[in-house]
This record gives sequence, C-alpha cells and structure tokens, in this order.
Amino acid sequence: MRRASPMAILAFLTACLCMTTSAQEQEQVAVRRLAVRPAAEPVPAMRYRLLPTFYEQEPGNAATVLKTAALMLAQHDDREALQRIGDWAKTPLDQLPLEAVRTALSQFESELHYVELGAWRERCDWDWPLQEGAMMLLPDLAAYRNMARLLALQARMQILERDYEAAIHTLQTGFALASHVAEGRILINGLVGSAIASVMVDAVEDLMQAPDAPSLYWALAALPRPLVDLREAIEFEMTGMAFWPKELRKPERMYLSPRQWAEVFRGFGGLVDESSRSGSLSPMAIALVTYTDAKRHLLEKGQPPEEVEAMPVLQVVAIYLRDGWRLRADALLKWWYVPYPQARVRRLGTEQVLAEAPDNLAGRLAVLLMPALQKARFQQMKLERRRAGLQAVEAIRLHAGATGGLPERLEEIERVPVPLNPMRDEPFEYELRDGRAVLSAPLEPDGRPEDAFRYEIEMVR
Amino acid sequence: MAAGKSKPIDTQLLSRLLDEHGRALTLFARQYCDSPEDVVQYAFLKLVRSRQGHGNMVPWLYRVARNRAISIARSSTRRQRRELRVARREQPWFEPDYAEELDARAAADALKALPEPQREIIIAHIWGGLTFEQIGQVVGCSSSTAHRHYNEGLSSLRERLRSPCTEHTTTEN
Amino acid sequence: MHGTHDDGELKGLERSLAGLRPAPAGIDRDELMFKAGQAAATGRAGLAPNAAVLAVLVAAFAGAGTTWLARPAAPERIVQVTVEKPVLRVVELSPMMPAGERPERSVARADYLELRDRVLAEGMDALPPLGPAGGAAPGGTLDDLWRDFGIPPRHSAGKAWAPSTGRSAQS
Repeated sequence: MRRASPMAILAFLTACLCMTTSAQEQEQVAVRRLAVRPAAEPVPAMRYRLLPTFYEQEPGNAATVLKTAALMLAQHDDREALQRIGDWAKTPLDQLPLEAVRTALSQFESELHYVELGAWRERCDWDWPLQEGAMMLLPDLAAYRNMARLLALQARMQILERDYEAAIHTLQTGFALASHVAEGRILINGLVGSAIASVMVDAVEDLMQAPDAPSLYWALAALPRPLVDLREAIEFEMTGMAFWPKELRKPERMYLSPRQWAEVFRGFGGLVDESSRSGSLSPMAIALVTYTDAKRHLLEKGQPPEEVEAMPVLQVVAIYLRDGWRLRADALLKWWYVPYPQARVRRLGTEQVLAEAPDNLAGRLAVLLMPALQKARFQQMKLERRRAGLQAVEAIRLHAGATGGLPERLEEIERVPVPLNPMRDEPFEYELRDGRAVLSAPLEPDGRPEDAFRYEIEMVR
Repeated sequence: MAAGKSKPIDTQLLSRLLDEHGRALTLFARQYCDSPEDVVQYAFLKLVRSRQGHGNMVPWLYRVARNRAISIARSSTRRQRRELRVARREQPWFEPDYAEELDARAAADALKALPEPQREIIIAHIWGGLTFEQIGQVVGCSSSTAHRHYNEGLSSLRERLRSPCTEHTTTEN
Repeated sequence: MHGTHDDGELKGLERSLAGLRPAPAGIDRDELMFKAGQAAATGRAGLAPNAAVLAVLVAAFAGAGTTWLARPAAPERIVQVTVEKPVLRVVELSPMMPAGERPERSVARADYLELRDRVLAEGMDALPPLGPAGGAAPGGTLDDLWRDFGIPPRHSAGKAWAPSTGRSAQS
C-alpha cells in the first residue's frame, strides 16, 4: 500500500473492513419470500402499466393539488389512524384486519381523491424558494410519505378484494406521485420520491403473489430507467453550490468592502453551530486562520501579488473556499456520470479525495454541505435493482406459464429477456433449491445486510 | 493551522475496537436510551479526540457511553428527537437464537425487568467482558459491590426465565 | 436476594446468556471512520466559540487590513470571550444587508441540510410527523373557508370507503 495520509489510510481500511464484514454478514441477509403463480402475457401486451401515459394525464401543475392534499392530511384529526396505516404497510397481506383497514381508509377518502387528482397531472413544478438555500423549510414532505402509505394500503385492500384493475390504477397513482415528488431540484425530494416508489414496489410484490394476478413483466419493463433519477438534484447541490451565499459562488467578481464580506461570512457561518455533527470551529473563525493558505493558493494560480494584497482578506478566503469546493465536488460528482457498475469499483478513489482534503474550512464545508453521494447513488441503484429483480421474477412466471415449471437456469427463459442486475451489469444469481428458485445478487460494499437482494420464489398453483 | 501534520491515529485499533466491542457497547447503551448507536459513535469519537492514553480503553468507553446515554435519556432536547422517531419499532437487544437454548426475546425482557444496577453490571460483565473491578470504575462502586449485584441479578434472571407463567414487566428506558 | 444459590446453575445461566449475541451495532462505519479521521487531525475536543464571539472577532479583524495576518494564527489564539450584546449590535453592517432584516439563524444547523442528511441515512421515516392536527392552519380549516362563502363543506369524515375502479368519480 502506498504511503498516504492518515485519513486516506482510514478510508482505505474502512473500505476493506466493510468488504470483510459484508462477507461475514452474507448469511444474515434478509430474504424475501414470494409465492407466485404461472402467468401468461397480457393481451394486448401493454394492457397494464404502472405509470400514467401521456394521454391519460390531465393538464396542469401537480404540485398545487398535491400541496392541497398535504394540507388536508396535516389538518386531519385522527393521528392514530395515520399511525395505524403506517404500521399496516408492513403487515403481511393475509394478516391485515380488513374491517379496521376499511374504516381507516374511509376517513381519508377526500385526501386520496386529491392525491389522485394531483398525481395524474402531467407536470409538476414545486417552485421551491431555492434562494432560501439551506434554511429552506419543507414542512409538507412528511405528508407525501403518508400519501404513499395510504395509497399502498388502498392497493393492498384492492388486491385482497381481487380488484386488480383498481389495484393497478392505485399503483399508477403511487408511482406518479413518486415521480412528481422527485421533481424539483433538491435532493431530499428525490430521496423521498425514491422511497415512495419503493413503497409502491412493495405493493407490486403483493400483487404479483395474488391468485390469478396478471403478469406485470411489461408493466415493470415500461417504467423509466432510472425510476427516480437523482442526477439533477445532485448536480444542483454540488456544482450549483446551492447552499452557498451567492456572493461566495463567484467571489472574484464581487466588489464588496471588508465589512460587507464580513456580513456574508457571518450569514454563512450561521449554517454551523456547536452541536452540529461536524462539531468543530465554525467557519468564521476558521476563515480567519485560513488566510495564509488562501493567499498562497491565489498566488499559485498565477494571480499577481499586488492584486491579492489589495483584495479584502475574506474575499481571498472566499475564492480559496470556492476552488476547494469545486475540486472536491467535481472529484465526487464525475463518478455520477459513469455507469454504476463501473463507478462502484472506483469508490475508494473518491473517498480518498475527500479524506485527503486539508482540514480547513473548505474540507469541513465539503463534509457539511455535500450530500453523501455514495449513499444517494446506492439508494437510487437499490431501487433499480429491485425493479429489475421483480421483472426477472415476472419472467420466471411467464416461463412457468409456458412450460409448467421453474427454470433450471435463467438462460432457459426464452419468452422474454431476463433483466440484468443493474448494479453490476451481470445476470442475477439463480439456483433451484428444494423446489424453490433463489434469485439473488452479491452484497454490495455500499450496503448493509438489510440492503441485500435475495428472493426465494415458490411456484404455487 | 497546520493541516495533516498531527499524530496519525491507529486506525486498526479503532476498527478492532468497533468490531470487538461495538455490539456489546450498543447493548449496554440501549438499556438507558433509544439512540444507542449515537451514544456509541460519540464514545468512539471522544476516544479519538481525547488522544490520551486511557490504559485499557474498553472500560473507559463503557463509562463514556454510560454517562452519555443517561444524559440523553434525561435531556429534553433529545426527547424531542425521540418523538420524531416515534414510528420506529423498538430494536431487538439480541439476535434470535436458533439453537433455542435460551430465548433471546425472553432474555431481553427479563433483563429489562431487572433493577438498573444489576442489569448494567450483568451486561457489562457477560457481553462487555469487563472485570468487576473495571465495572466498579464504570458505575462508581467497589468491585465487591459489583459482584454482589451481579449474583443477585443472575438469580433474579434465573427465576424469571424459569417460570414462563410469570408476568414480566418491562422497565421503561 | 442473596445468600443461597446454586453456583452451578448460575454458571449455566451465565453460559447460556453469553451464548446470545447482541444485535448489530447499526453504526455507519464509514461515517465513524471519516469523522474519526477528522477528529484526529484537529486534535481538539473543545466546543466552538459561539456566534457572538465570532462576530466580535470578525468586527475586530474585518476592517483592519492585512497586517494582523502577517503570521498565521494558531487555533489556540481564538479565545472564549464573553459578549453580552447580541450579535447584530456588535457588527457594523453595510447598507447592502441591513442587520435588522436578517434573522438570527446561528442557533441550529440549517433545516434543509439536517433533514436531507437524516433522510439519506434513515430513509423516509426520518421525516418529522405531520403538523398539529385539525384546524391549526391560520384562517381555519378548509371547511370553515367554504362555510364563509356560503358553500357546504364537501369534506366530511366517516363516509364509507369504496374501492375505486378505474378513474375516481367526482364525489
């Protein structure tokens, strides 16, 4: 191992330890069991979809209606019902207390109606007050989570009642909601949208296992890839320096007095406090002791010494911070543009870049303001893998429908292509064991045992 | 401010401490508060920041974790955060024991029902591996007192686990 | 309860308990290691000066030119200074950003960043619960609003829920 700074060693050892621990924890991986039935392709092939088509959507801005629905939910009296609905989302389908669920859902009929009205609109412009930067408040986000749970529960009720057309319609509403919530440039919307889509995928699993459930192979295939794309949000928060005061984004073009620079930094310093997780000196104090490094940086860039001397201290620091940010942000962001199967093997490189950042304001700001890109990408890919995996299960159902049994190997399936594991661009692992099919993927270094992918599929009649 | 010139920390030691003691420390913290992961992370980071020799670091970690967990449990600020996590289910104390020699859930319930002095000493000794002398330094008593609490606690556990019909009450964190 | 007990039986119980494995620690190892690296590099365990202190420092240094920076200042030179006046009165501000209009926000870490990072780490469950129940919105509930305009409220609880088939019908 080449000589490196302590933090680089840390990052490297951390990665090694993670992989070792991952191998040891493979046996603790959670398994999802599916009991499915053979199926035939729907007629026509695209009879079922999981997202509204353009022609089905209504014109208008979804955000206005969804915010109304959020307000309605926030005003709803029965908090316990919402809590129960959240709990029922995790209850196995055959254990749902039907009457209680019906009664609970009936209290949210109006809210569900508005969610549907919003979700089926063709565009969504949240129009967030982005100028608020990191101080932006998003009080309605929790409501979208509750909407997802309501929809999932409604779909599950419809599945139990064997009203599959209605269930699919509800799923369309849910995936459309996920898609709309994820629009708008900020990362948290993308994460919540991704989580909503995941809740809907749970309900898709329930539908797949229902008696005489239609094949959802093509419906899953038609979902966009990626289902929720975090790229725009990541770019906005990284390259756009979304949470920096605008004066700090192009500091060399700002002509402020020293006192004005002080005010800019004072506001910026308000992002950090004693109890924040970065837990160290706030930017203001660090800026004052960063000047020497900042000045050297500008001189090394080729700026004439007399110009640097003439600039206010904090402007010099601002340029240095911005350059430091760009260096680190770009070093991390570039891997987002590489397909995940290739990018994932490079994760040590990006962590080292961050770990080797000098311990000054620029480095601390990177930790504070940069989202955990690795985590965000993994979340996105986890959803992709799950979608592809369920599509593979649907391929198995179609195979069983044609041949009468489970395939010995995935390569036997000829009726439809079997999706690859998008995290590795390789086929899923597959084997028959005790009359069941086991579809799985290797544990990823970015993930924990609960993030693993492993389905045990039983073909029932 | 000099960057990158400080004494390098022993990453291997930190990793090893986490591997060997992370679970037991978490269990130890979990008896006081419902954010034991935060407590354990705090303890490790404090160890790194303090950069002093602590002799055997493990009892030191337990003492820091205990103080922090109790402080969290009492703090009103943290109580708000706990309310924010109200949707979370309580995490299990132990992994399920498929050998069925001892039911993990029953053991956790029985432990929770013990008085705090007995419980914390049992956890620190059995899973933390601390000696009674070390435990005494962590909780602030003599090693003989720690040993006595330990035996009393074990006897109580034995009675509880022996009688399946006994009504178990769960002590609130 | 002490005194007579069966040592052998307690030893057996002790062994059985030791056979139980505590649940996984659930700690983000990468995050811990990175923070440990940071903590090791800074080597300080103390708390940060508060915003009032720093405003004093900024006010003292901002207009003073570069002479004080002839030599780099070591972190230990930033001393805790008790300042009784609130931040806004200490710093002399430019007309561009009048003090009175900028709310004091240095108390807590920025709302969005905190929430974003928690959702990244914990998923949707990290979102806070919905706001106060029923009628807490300024101006009353939607039903009140409709009543004000003489329109019967359309949102009544307790209607029987029926599964929707195809597109929802207008209620």
